[in-house]
Amino acid sequence: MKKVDIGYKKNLGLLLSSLVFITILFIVSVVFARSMIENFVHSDFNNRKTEVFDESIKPFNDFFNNKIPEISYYQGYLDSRQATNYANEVIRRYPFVEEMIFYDVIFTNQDSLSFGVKFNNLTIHPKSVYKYHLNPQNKLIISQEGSEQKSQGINDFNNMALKLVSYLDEVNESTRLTDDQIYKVFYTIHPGKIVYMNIPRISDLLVYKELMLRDSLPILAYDQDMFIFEINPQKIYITNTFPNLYENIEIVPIVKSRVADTRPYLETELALPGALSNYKLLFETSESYIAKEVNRQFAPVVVGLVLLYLVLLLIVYLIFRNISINGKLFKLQYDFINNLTHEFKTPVSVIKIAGNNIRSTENLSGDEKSLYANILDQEADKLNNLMNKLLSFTQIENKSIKFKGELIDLKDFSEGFFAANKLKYPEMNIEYAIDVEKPMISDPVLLTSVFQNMVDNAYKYSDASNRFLKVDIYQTKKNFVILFKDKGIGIKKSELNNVFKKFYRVKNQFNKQGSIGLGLTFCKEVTEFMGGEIKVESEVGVGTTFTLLFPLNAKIT
Amino acid sequence: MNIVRDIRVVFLLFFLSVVLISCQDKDTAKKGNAVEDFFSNPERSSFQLSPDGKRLSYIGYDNYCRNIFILDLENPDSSKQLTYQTSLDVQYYFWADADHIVFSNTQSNEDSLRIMIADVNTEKQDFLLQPSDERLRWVSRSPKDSQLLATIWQKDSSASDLYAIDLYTKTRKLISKNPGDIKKWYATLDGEVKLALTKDSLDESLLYKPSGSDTFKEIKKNNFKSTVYPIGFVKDSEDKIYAISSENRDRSALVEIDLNSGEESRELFAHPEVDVNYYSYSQDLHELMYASYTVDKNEHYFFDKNLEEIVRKVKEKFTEEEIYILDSKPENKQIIFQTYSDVNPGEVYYYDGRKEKYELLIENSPSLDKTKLCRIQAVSFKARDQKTISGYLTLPKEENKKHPLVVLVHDGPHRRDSWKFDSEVQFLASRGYAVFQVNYRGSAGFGKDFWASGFKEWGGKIQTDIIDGVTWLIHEGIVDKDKIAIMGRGFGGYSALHAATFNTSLFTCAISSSGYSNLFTFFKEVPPYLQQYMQLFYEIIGNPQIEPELFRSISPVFHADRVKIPVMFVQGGRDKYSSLTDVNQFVQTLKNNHIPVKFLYKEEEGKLFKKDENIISYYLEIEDFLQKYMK
Repeated sequence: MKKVDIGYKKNLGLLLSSLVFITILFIVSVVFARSMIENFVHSDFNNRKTEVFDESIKPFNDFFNNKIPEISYYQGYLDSRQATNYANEVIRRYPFVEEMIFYDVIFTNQDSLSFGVKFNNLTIHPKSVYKYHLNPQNKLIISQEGSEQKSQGINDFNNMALKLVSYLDEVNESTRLTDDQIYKVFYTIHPGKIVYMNIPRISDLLVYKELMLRDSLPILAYDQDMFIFEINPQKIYITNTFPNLYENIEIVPIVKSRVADTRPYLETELALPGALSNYKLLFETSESYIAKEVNRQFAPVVVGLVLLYLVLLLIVYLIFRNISINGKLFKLQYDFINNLTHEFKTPVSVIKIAGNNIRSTENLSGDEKSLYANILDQEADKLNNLMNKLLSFTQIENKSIKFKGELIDLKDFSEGFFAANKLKYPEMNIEYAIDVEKPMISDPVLLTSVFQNMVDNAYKYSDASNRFLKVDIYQTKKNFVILFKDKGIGIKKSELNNVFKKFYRVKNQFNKQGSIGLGLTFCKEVTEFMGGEIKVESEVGVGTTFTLLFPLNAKIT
Repeated sequence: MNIVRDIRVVFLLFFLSVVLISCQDKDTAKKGNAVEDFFSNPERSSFQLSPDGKRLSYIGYDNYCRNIFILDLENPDSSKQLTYQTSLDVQYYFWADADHIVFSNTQSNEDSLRIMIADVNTEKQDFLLQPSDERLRWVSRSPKDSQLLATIWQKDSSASDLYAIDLYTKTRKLISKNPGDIKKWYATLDGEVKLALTKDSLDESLLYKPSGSDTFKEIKKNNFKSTVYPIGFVKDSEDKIYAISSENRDRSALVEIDLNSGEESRELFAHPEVDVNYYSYSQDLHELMYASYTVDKNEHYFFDKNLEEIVRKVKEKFTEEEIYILDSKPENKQIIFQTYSDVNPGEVYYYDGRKEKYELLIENSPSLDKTKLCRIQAVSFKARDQKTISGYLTLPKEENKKHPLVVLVHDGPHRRDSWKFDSEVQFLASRGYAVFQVNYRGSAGFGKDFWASGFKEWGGKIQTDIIDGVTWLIHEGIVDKDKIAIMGRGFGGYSALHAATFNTSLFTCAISSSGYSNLFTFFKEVPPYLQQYMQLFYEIIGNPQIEPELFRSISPVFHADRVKIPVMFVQGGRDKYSSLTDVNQFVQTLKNNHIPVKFLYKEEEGKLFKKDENIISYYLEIEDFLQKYMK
């Protein structure tokens, strides 16, 4: 058969180029995402350190903001026992407090005190000094220091006394302690050391001032408490809230110079505040460690991109499939028109030849006349049939006709129909068995054409030697069942689904001409139009069974 | 589309309900009394009769300052305003004689000493003493030879000396230097000082100087638990005095004491249940007028028959009310009195028995709708150790339901609540809260045993008394156990903070006004010149030097972490008994623990708010706070 250029362009080039484009896009975005994430992780490395800082410094802030001011609650009433309790609590709860020195201080105008800081009449005298620290067995060691000049922390004591006294100059009845003044006067903060004196009330300060400026007052004595906290920032517990970013976090002296020449891949630092300011937080991470984090963050992105890529590929495939189906359809229609033309051409040319013969023959014998008449009649019938089929098919498809049911006695109907077909196909062995009680409601014309198609197909797709058709008509609870069993060539499993499709023909030697691939489509349309359904079962080389089901209780419309 | 419409409908409904609710709020506000109706200050106060009974004086307002006004009772046309202060307030005044009024005018109590004298006829004013940085207490306000007696001392000093002040020369003369520990001097009718009271730490002594002698001798020594408080000399006697004494008895009584022996010679009046809490002694006549005592409400016991007769007459007219006697001249049948009841802030009247004429001087809280006020009932319950504790319960107008409760704890502890018109109680009741006031152990007025049973019970049995009272109310089915607030000022505030710290399951929220959050600070406030009283404080609360552990355990600020309920703090910048530093720290801890906190701070106020606008905003904030957390 000559290859026909059907003229339908599949344009695979476009598809291919979009495929290439999508792939390039995929690769570019993967590369881009990778570098983005790498940047992101690097900047995270620099930014997240404040959160680690905040978290790690929390106990210190708690100590500084809550625990130290507690000393003021006692308003100077702390004695050695209470101070010991307090120190015990602080030193155990805040490991970065290494040592505490407690000064039980008296502000008095008594002159005879052996030692103290004296301003005019006011003597600030450390009554007793205690030192607290934990020994390696975690036992609290308390040692009472002499209150002489040489005792530890005496400089801090002197400074504090000096600050307080110089502040007394500013104090008057209307003074209100501001937070700023409190910080400046009652706290002394050096790297590694906090000195705190309990904050007296304004009226106390006024009395201290009186004591300082006025003589001839009765002997008065007021208690004040002072604590020196020795802080070791290296004992601050580091809470690494981002273990994925920071491989190693250390607290190191702020002036630490690096000895080793292997610098870590990434490094950042943050100075500690206030009393911790001689130390800094140092964050280090090696290249492989950070790469692990990059990959960890990159993985879900890649998965996402791959999914997207696959979806695009799927779309391309679907477009391709659609195009090829359209191509097939186009070819089917082309074949159809070809066949149809052929189908129409044969009877027309036969009619034409018969006409010519009649015209060219002078006297037609009675035999010849009836021969030509038969031929003309037959071919006209063929044409008519063909056109009826096309017409009703189109009408049913467009739903432009309505189902006109009438009562059909299947027995009478079948007897008539099969009698006619036995005449039509004398060489075909047709058996039929009917077991129904009710008449069926259907359109006899359409039903006839369905039956005719079944019989025609059985005839057409059977070996000449084995033309056999068995028809069973019976009744179930719901349906009339009509089975057409032949012993024809059968249909391949893979093609069973296609046999009812428009313009589809099973390709074999039996249908090289005279078929337009509409028969079964027509049957299906008509059967469904009448409210029934059609099924097919087949085995290659054994035979095919078509089953028609019509409802028992169809309505007459 | 449908969903959109549904959402719109929901929003509309929500909006409408919000509008309705807010309208409702406005309506109830309109129906009830506004905050300012409850807490308005009377425009006239300090009513006094002149010694001759011809004039009536009072302090009224002119130019927003307290000034003295004179009503002429015989010649109403010559009534007048005596002083015209425009920047100073008259703090107090008294009639020195029929024509002269002595008064003090300062901006506040903390200002320097300013004592003035004014001639009522000529309106001439002059300094009786030159202004100085001293303090003064009058010993005798009725002049003898035109001389008044007063003790004057240096600020922040404990030694007060006795001076005579001459009304005409306007000079002062030292009569007696304080030997060191005399707290109070007492003068006889003829202006001679024969009696003095000394006090050191826990003990006090009564000193007597008979006529002609120049030295005081101790005739009586008491410790702080049993007191003898001299009132004045018995008429025409130089060696007998009236005194309120709790010596050898639990409830203090009015007695007569023989100064020669130092022994009690006669018991004039005693009540089996409660202390004599007030007396009236006429300085002019040297006679006792009446004594008063409070079981549930304030009652009088009359020594003066004329006064008793006048009061009986007055009571026939005011049957629904009780009366306070503000001033009286029984010999002239004159009396100034104030009527009051639990639901009536009352009026002040002048009554002249000779004419049987009443004159209304001032109506208290005139804008208050009295029909909306709630009755106060006296209640009593058994504490867990079976001690009977009394108190007062005020139920709001709404009936037939369990009320939300506000426990209003009085300051002190050495004070008590009583049946009277109480703006704060009425304000809370008008907002729908039942109000419970407890005279917990340690409260004043129920005898010295009851007082002493509150010693060293801060944070102990005093607090459990309050809790026992609340649980009793819950068991009686009167209050809603899920809506219980506790509020108070000073010690009451301490109780509220203690409850918020240690009893968070019973109470819903707490309001502390200048509450003692830190007892160390509280102790620190005892000024040096009162150091001699420290021993008394040690006895009542404890000694912070010896028992710091106790102080730590009962001071709420150390346990701020345990607070679980919303707390409102009210603090005045000049309050001395609790420091702003403590409160700030307390508030900060609560905020850190995400406990709702409201902090109302008024720089210029002390423990008790004085300015009207601050008082109003104080109660508005309380209303708001309670509404928010007692829903």
